[in-house]
Order: sequence, then C-alpha cells, then structure tokens
Amino acid sequence: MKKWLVHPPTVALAGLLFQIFPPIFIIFIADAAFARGRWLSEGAERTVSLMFLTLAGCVSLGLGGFGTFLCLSRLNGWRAALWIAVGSFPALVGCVLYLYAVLIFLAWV
Amino acid sequence: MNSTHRAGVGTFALFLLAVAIVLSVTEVPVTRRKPVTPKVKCAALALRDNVTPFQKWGSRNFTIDNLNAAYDRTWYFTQNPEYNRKAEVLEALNRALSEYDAVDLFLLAHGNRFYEWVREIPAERRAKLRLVYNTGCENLDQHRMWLALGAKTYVGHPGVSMSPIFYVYFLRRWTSGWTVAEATREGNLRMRGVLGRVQFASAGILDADELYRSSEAAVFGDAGLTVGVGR
Repeated sequence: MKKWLVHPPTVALAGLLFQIFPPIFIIFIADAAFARGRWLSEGAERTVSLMFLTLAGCVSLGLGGFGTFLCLSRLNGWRAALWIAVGSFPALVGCVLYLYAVLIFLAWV
Repeated sequence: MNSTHRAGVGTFALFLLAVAIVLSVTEVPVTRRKPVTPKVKCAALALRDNVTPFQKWGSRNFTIDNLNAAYDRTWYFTQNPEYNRKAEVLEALNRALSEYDAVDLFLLAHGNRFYEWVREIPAERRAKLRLVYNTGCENLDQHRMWLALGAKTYVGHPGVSMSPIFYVYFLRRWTSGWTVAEATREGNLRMRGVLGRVQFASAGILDADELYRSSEAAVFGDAGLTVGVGR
C-alpha cells in the first residue's frame, strides 16, 4: 500500500466521525419499535439492534485500530499522539463499548 | 523490533487501554454461580412502564437475555401509549403462578401501584410469588403490601432514585446466583461509584451523597434468597 493512498489523519478523523452514527441509529430503532405509530416489532428490534451494535463495534475497531496503527507507523511524535487522541482512540473506546453492550445484552459476560 | 511491529504493539496496547476504561466506568464481567441446591422451576415477569422509546429499548434489550439465562420461562411487557397491558400481564402472571414453583417480578417503572393489579389474583396462587424488585421512586414502603400479598422478598428504593443504574448491577448479579442481599449490596456499591463519577463530571452540580440517599435499595423479607432456590 503506497503511503499517499491512506492519509493517517483522515482515517483517524473517520473513526471519530463514525461515532456519530451508532447513537443516531439506536434512537431511530427505538423510535421505530416503541414510539407511537411504531412499525418495527419488538422481536425484530432486538435482532436489528444486536446486529447493528456488532457492526458498529467492528467498523469502529477497523477505523480505530487501523487509524492508530497508521498514526504510530507513519506520523511522528506529537502528531501521532494528537490524531490518536482525537480520532482513533475514541473509535477504539466506541468499539469496546458497542461489543461489550452486545455481550451484556446476550448475558454472555 | 522494527517500526511496523512497534506500531502493532502500540495499537494493541491502546486497544487494551480502551477495554480497561470501558470496564472500569461501566461494568465488570460477572461469573455465574452454580446453584448449590437442586434448581426449582422458576419464572420471571418484567414490566416496563410507558417511558421514552430509548428507555424502553435499553430496558428490554438489557433485561430479556439476563432473565432468560436464569429462569425457565420469562415474560417481558412494555406498556404502550395506546393501550394498557394490564390484562396481558395478569394473564401471564396467572399462568406463571400456576405452572412454576416460584415467580419473580421485576417492575421497571416510575412510582407505581402494581400491587393493586396483583391483588386481583387469588391468594393461594400468589403464594408462589417470590422476589419483587421495584424500580419505582418512593416505593420502598410498598414492602408491606407486597409481603402481605405473598411475596417472599421485596427490594425497593426510598426516594426519587437512580434505580436504573442500580438495576443493571443488581440484575446481573441476582441472575448469576448471588443472594438478594449480596446483589443489593453490590448494586448499591457500584451505583454509589457511578454517582461519584457523575458528581465529578458535573463539576459538583449534582450531589452524589444526596442522590445515593434517595436511591439506596433495601431488602425486606428473605435476604438470603437466590434465583435457583425455591420458597
């Protein structure tokens, strides 16, 4: 992979920006299943929620992990620390949060 | 070790740091205890009142499989804005009380008077009621009503409470085989920790001690009860 193809700060920023979507989608699912005029059954809601949280965890892991790796391997010093702190690490925390929520919802841990 | 290996190790270390942060601010894994006595057939019924869609979503997704992991049969009802599910709840409760040795109730509702519903069930059937956990604010005094109705143990909160926080820690431990006293003590302890962090995050605007005083759960009746043991 050539260095100019993947810009580490872009991946880090993408990891951060992706974190906007899970809360929005969860609120959307909750409204679809439980608000007045709902159109999603409670059984389907649970399947969709668990699948979405798993997907969100995997995407966050990809963006957060890849972003961290790129920053550490291609940027130096404070620039790596800055982009990891503002972008990739929040994505890693999001990844753990979503996947851990799935494990707790399934009573596996 | 070249720079690629160092970056890989650094990425993994940061992932572990993320795991540590999430576990420290949310919840730790809980090991399920095996029942020491033969397990009785028990059922659970949970009722969520009409709150915001997000609260309903969270309550249902958290509760269902945690109950399924510990009970032979579970029912979960969410109250709708359009109609009251009292008839369905009482039908399910009647069925649970007639088919199972012990039945636990989880009332996930703001201040409520669900004992008035359960009063309609014949007394001999209500004798199988076991644990009643009530998240309702200022519903601690209902222990008199519930124990008089036949419940063996009642857990409630005294004031305007942060019971949803307590409930997460309590239910996971109760369904893992802890005694109701142990689960309540740990739920209170961990809720106190969360409230302390909330006070810190709010720069002292919220008073953790005051919130805790109105939220601290108490057990009435048999505090040594566990999920796998009958009446």
